[in-house]
Parts: sequence; structure tokens; C-alpha cells
Amino acid sequence: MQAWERLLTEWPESFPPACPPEDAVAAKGEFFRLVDDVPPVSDDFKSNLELRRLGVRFKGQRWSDDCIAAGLSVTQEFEDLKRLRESVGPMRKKKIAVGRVDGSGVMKATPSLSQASHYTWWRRVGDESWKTFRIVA
Amino acid sequence: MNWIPVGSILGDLAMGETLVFYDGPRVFTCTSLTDQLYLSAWAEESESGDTWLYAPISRARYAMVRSGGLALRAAFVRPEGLVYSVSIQRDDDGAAEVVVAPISATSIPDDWLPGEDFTLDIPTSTLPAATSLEDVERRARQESRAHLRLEVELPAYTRSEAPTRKIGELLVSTQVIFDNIGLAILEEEPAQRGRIPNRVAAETASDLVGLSAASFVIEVASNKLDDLLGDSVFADVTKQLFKLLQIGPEREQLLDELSTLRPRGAKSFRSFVTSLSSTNGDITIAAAGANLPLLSEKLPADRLDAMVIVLNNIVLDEASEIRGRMRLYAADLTRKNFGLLDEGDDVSYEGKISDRALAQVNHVPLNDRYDIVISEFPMFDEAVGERKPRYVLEQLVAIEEGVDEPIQTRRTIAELDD
Repeated sequence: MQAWERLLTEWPESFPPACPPEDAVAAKGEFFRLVDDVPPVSDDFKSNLELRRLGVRFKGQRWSDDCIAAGLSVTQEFEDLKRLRESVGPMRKKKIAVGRVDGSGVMKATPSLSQASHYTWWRRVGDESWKTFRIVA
Repeated sequence: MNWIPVGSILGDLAMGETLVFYDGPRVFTCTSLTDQLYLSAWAEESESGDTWLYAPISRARYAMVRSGGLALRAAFVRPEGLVYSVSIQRDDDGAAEVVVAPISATSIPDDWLPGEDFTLDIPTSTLPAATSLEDVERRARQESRAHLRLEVELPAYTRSEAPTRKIGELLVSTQVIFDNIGLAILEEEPAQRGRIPNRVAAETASDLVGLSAASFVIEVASNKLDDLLGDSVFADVTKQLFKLLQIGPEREQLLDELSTLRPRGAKSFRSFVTSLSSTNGDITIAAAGANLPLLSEKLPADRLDAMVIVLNNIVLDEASEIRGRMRLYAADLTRKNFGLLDEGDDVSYEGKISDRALAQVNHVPLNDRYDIVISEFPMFDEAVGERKPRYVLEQLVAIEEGVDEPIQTRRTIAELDD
């Protein structure tokens, strides 16, 4: 298999066509994510689409944009995420973890109304960068 | 999308704004067919599904919650109507079971709710949206009167609201600068203190014609319609004001232009810029009239601050007018320089000849005595750390034959009548 062929197949099969989007860039840098487990485990880094595929959650659920559901929310600013964690009950129970994601898939800045530093992160098959994450708050 | 319940007692809901997104919408609005707005927040998660809180909310309250004036939690614990818990659970086949039940605000578990102090802080327009700048020009033509718009980006305000005191000061200083530039334009010998003459005030008076959103927008219009040719003093004043604002913090250029306004007009300009600067925000000023094409100038907060520093260095608090009978010992019409000697006090004055005095100085003999009016702008020279006055010759009148007694030189410090 050629290198480029391998690249094409590195995304999970569950990803919809043209996902990740073309304007996503190589993941690089330190990012923060809300997790349930201390220390973080691989389940904390499964996208909604992946959880549905595994039958863990969202059985039968449909989304308006499957590609967004295939990505994970991460943020660049700790304070942004700390503040946002307080916005709803279930998120208040989660922990904030930080990790380096250099070369682990691609990302796209997807700022939202209440979070300017929000990114969507699409992980490749077999990505283990979650292991670099540690709890900070 | 099925973050929202389908076929429940809440009716057919259409998704509105997503206010918090994290691995999906977490706080959002939706609207029923009867136009009822609901605010929805994620309340509980489990492997089989999620529970949400739905609170009916009025548009006015939503604007408060969205902008951070009211904590998000308050929308659920102090609701305007019945709050519903909406549970969407899925069985192994993926079929959704939706249970919608009213829940009293006091029985919502704390861990279902947003944090006590969490606010959304999303910039929110609570006034009608400001029309485009082109619309200012169109309205000025339609109404046959000049319009002036000030758009203020107030830091720390997420709603279209502004502190009454600051906006009041801004409105007053806007009227004062129009009165005083108008005074300098209309009067041959503008009084440097006291009330603005009615004749001038009638030409420069403005009316507040609108407050709107896009940060915070104030729009005033001339109280008086344009003349038959589409001109007005208000428009002339506006042009002069823009000329000054476009100079920015360039001390020499600013002083040259300010000297045309006489000390009182210059002082009112400083007061106006100080008032703009005290909002701590970026400002866009725009104006148009029937014969005044649209003018627009962006004034970032740092530029306004720099202008205030320059204007304060010109020490305009002590800007004054000097009247007396003096001997003209030098006049260079090309360079617009003059030299006058007050023989009574043995003081000489050297400086620039204003445009309006050039014609008077032209062809008059040197070393004769004249009745003169000079503006004095005491400036702080940072290089040497000293005050150095700058003089502008405003008026020079030949003395009638046989009337040549010395007269006491008078100095009047300019005062704004605001």
C-alpha cells in the first residue's frame, strides 16, 4: 500500500464523506478537554459518532452534521473551558485535562458564541495522543 | 437533528441559537409553532440518553440572559413560566422514548443546573439595529438637514446599553463643540466667554433623533433645515470638526487648525475629544448632509487618548484672547509671521497671522500702531519642560487719525458656557 493510500484510510470508516473538512489543519499544540475519568482514559476521547458506532450511546441518533459529530471539542484556553464548564450541570461534574496533540489528526477552529477558542479535533485510527493528557482542574 | 423532543406536549419545536456548544449543543433556544421561545440546557446524562431542562422565556428576558445581565441559572430557578424536564432515552434498537414533565423550579436538582454565577456574556442588541452609514446620507437628504452619528464600542457592555452619565456628557459636548465652532465661523469677533448668542445657537442646535444598536449608536440631526441651496452652518461645522479629527495627535497641525477656532472653539474641541476618550471605547463618527457627502472617521481608543494628551499639552485651560493697541514691527505675508510690540507693557508678541487677518495686514505700513486681537495658546514644550505661548494674530485694525492714545491691553481667558 502506498503512503498516500494509507493516509486515505487512516480516518475511521464511520466518518462521512469529505470528513474531516479540507480546511482542517494538522493538529499541533497543547489543548484542553473535559473528561470523566481520572486519569483520562480512551473513552474520554471518543466522538459522538464513535460512541454511536460502538453502541455505547446515541443509539439511533441522527445529527444535522455527521462530520461535527465525528470530531471532539477541545479548547486552546484553559480559562475559557473552566468558565464554560459551569454552563450546565453535567459539565460541572467533569474534569479538565490538558495534553499535546502534535501530529494526531487534524483540527479546525470552530469558535462558538460563548467560546472563542473552541476547536474541533478529528482523530486518526489508532491515535493514542490521549495518553499525554493529564488532569489540571 | 434530534437534540430536541419530537411529538411531545411542547409541540413542534424548531432549533434556534446554540449558545453553548461542547461535543454538541449544550445550551440552546428553540421556538414552538405558537412562537413560544424556550431556553434549553443539558441537565443529566446517562448511557441510555439525556435529560434537558426547557424554560419558557420572553424575548426581553432572553436578551438579559444572553448578554449576561442575568445568570443562566436564573432562567430555570426563577422562570417566567412552567419549566419542563425533557428526557430522551433510547432503547437497544435506537427507538427514542421522550418523556416531558413539568418540574417546579424548587425541585430541580442542583447538579442539573448551571453554576450559580455562570453568565453567557454574548454581545446582544437590545435596541433596533443601526442602519448603514449610507442610510445616514439618504436620510439627511430626505430630511434636508445634516445628520451626525457617533458609534461607541463600549468595553464591558454586552447589551446595547451605555452609562447615562457618559452618554449625557457626550451629547452635551457634541452640542458645545457645534456651538463654539459655529461661533468662530459666524461671528467676526466671537466672545470668548458667556452665552452663545441666539443667532449662532439657532444655526447649530441639534436634536437627538435616534439611539440604536451596533455597540451603541447616537444620532443627532440639525435642528434647522438646510437652506434652499442645501447648505447649513451645521454642515459647515461638521466639516470643520472632521478636519480636526482627521489630523489626530499631530501637535503642530492640530494647533494650526485649532487656531482658526479661536481659544474658545479650541477649548470646546478639547472638551469634545476628552468626552469621546472617556468612554474608553473605539468610536466611529459619521455625518452627511444634502450637500455634504458622507464623511466617516474611525477613532480607536488609543488614538483618542493620544489626542487628549496633545490637547492637554497645549494647555488650553489658559488659552486666552489679548486685545490692545500695539506697534507692528514685522509682517511677512508669505510665511504668515508677525511681530507686535505692546509699548505700554514693553512686551512683544511674535507668531502666525490667521487667514482671516491676512487681508488686514496686507499693505499696512510697518511701525504704525494698530488695534489688535491676538489669540494666545500656552503650550507645554516637552523638549525643554517649559510652557511657551503660541500667538495667532486674529485681527488688525488701523487707528482713526488723531486717536492714538495708548489703551490698556486686556487678556480674556476663554470659557465654555456649558
